[in-house]
Amino acid sequence: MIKKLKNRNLYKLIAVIGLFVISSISHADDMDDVKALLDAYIETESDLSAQAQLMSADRIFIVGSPAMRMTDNATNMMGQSHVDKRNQQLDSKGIYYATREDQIVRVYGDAAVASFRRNLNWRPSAQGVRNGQSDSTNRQLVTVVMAKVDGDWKIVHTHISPA
Amino acid sequence: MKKLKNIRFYHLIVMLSLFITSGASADDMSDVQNLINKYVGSQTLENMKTQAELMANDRTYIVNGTRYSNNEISMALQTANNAVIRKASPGIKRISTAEDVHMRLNGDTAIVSFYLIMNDINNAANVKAGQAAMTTNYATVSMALFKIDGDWKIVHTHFSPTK
Repeated sequence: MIKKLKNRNLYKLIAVIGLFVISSISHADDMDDVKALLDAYIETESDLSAQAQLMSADRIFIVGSPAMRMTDNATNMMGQSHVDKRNQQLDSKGIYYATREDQIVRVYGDAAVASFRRNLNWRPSAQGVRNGQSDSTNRQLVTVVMAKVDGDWKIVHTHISPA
Repeated sequence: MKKLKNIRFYHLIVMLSLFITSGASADDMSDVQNLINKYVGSQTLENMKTQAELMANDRTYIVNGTRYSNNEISMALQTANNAVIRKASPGIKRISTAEDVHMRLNGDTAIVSFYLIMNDINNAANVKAGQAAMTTNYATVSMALFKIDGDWKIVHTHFSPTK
């Protein structure tokens, strides 16, 4: 009887420890996954079709000053891609890249909230400069909310304002 | 026969638990809505202590191109600013409303966006002196909320000027 009771307690202990271990491992994995998603978001700034893959279909996007909210992500990304293509046509050898500073990330179960400063940098080619273009950097403060959708982390909300 | 009864019993439990889950979700949605209502209702020119109670201690707040990660200081700044406005224009009153509230629940996290309209009603003396009876500030707001120990709290806010 005592042995049975001891066994039961042992199983309980193992179960509790197991839950702690699994929970902490999955939390650490989630943080890694979320950070990887944010890295990909920054790195794909010059490849918006790849960036769109990081988002849920119903992502909400708030941008501009004055601000506007867009709830149709496909149309929103179509507009952004058009601007990118136009810039490429104007100066195909110019480079456009994003950098990020001071990122704060918090994971809350199956959702995560991040904020950071982002610089969108445009560096025209020599020909671009001859045509009147110049270096420009657009400084922003960005909020990105991510959610685990069917096991994959996706960006579900983005809010960008001038910094 | 007994096995069949057991299977039916388990089915019943599964079905019931599904109902409980949807009930919790509906409750969460109304709890989040209530919190947003309280937030908007407390977006006044008074002491911000009431509003601060709706927030997690580590809330991050982005407004006017600045990110505040110390919520206590951020709310103290808002309270001090409100006190100066009240002193400069005794009797001035701010009434805020929210429009087009969009909510998304993801487990114990909620992502909300809305248009916040802050109306400052001037005092009679200022109006007689030629000032506007009412000035309105528009903002597009993103908010992330998280259920902490059973209570929904605002963990992140991002304001952008609108209109």
